[in-house]
Amino acid sequence: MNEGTEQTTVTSRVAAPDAPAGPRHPTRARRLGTRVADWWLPDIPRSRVGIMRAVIYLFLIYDILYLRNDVIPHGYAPELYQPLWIGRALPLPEPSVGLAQTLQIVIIVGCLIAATGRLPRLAGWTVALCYFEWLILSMSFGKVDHDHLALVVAAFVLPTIGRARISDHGTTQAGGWAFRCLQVCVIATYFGAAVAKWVRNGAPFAWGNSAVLTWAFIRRGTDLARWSLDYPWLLRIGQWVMLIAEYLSPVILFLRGKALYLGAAFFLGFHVITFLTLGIHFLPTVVCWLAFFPTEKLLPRRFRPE
Amino acid sequence: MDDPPARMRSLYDVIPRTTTSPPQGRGLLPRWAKAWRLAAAGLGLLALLHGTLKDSDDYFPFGSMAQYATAHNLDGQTRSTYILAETESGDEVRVPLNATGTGIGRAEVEGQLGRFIEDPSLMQVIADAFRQLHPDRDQYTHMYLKRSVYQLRDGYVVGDPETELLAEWEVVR
Repeated sequence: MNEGTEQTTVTSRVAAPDAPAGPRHPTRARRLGTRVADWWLPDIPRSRVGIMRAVIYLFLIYDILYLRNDVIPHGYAPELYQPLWIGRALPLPEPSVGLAQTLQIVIIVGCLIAATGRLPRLAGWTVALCYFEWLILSMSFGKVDHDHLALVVAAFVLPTIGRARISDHGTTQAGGWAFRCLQVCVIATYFGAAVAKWVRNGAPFAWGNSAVLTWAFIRRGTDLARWSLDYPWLLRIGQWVMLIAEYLSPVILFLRGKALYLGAAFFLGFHVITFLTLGIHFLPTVVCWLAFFPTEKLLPRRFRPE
Repeated sequence: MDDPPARMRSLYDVIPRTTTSPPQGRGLLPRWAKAWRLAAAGLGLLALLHGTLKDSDDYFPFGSMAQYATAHNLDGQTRSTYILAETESGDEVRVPLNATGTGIGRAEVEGQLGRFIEDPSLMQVIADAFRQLHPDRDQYTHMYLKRSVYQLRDGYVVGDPETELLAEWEVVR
């Protein structure tokens, strides 16, 4: 243990030069804390942030126009508004057609500006707040979808990065934190789903042997899915695969290279299957998978960071 | 793609907030900027844990990931709710419970099913929303809130679904 301490002291001094004079030999807890902090705050290329901004902000426009497109129609049925906790805790406006149309215009204009990397804070925060209200108006009518966790967090963490464009060189630690947040939210969408199944059914693996896919396919199965209702054992195998994958999903956060691409391919393949069989695509989570990959390597050479 | 001169950039681009280094170098964060980021991440994770353990999606966006989380019984029933309507031209149609049809989804009706059964006049809201969204379409005169019930036995669907009438409503113009 003594062999490693000197080196760790040096690194922690480098990482936090203005740290108050602590114990000369940091405790194990302190070293763990430094490692956790370093993990949350990696340095990533600014151009990667620029790419992510373009993708996320353009996707938000697609989302409000074609995926969560019930907000303007909801304005015609305010009697069915059942505000979520956040809507009861904050004095948010009641749903109306005018409010929804205003939000739609502000989000689209804000996203078009922010996607270019201009006004990253002003446009970014405006989009974040308006998009959040849009989702609240969408999900406050008796049904909450949980495919939006990573995307709504993206709307709130991207403005904290400040300036970072596709053509920028250098790196950003603020961007590293934002991307970590997205990665953790993507994984939390799967791992949280496994824990939710445990909490709801009282046992960690009870869900695997249930009739949940039969239930889902009867209710909204596509023609590609309905044949499988005659083979419930096959559906149970599918449930077990999914449940185990959800419990193991945090491993993805610590994979690199080929293993990471394989892990991502598995979960993206899962989304393709649920889309083909149930019409559930989870695109808002899928687009945030981009936070795991060095997208700047796809840029033409003149844009590439050194 | 040269950068524009500084005066043409916006105020928000020029004033550095969390980083003082120029865009060329390493943008390392000062201590307080690291601290609030770590605290925010920790709080977010705690909020997610809270929503998950409470088994409630009321705490959106930090609610429980509870879609499809219920382990349905292999010998239980699968239910599916829908609304049928008679129209002004005398047809019987299925009311489109989705974003572009009426703006109200089937899962949203099911999420508030108790309210609809207790107060069938809420179906008027759906009829009115349909009229405002699609004024040129065949409008509803009478609505039936119904439910199909499929019986399962060892995971297999047995027999034909039974239909229950949960509520009905004469649409007022």
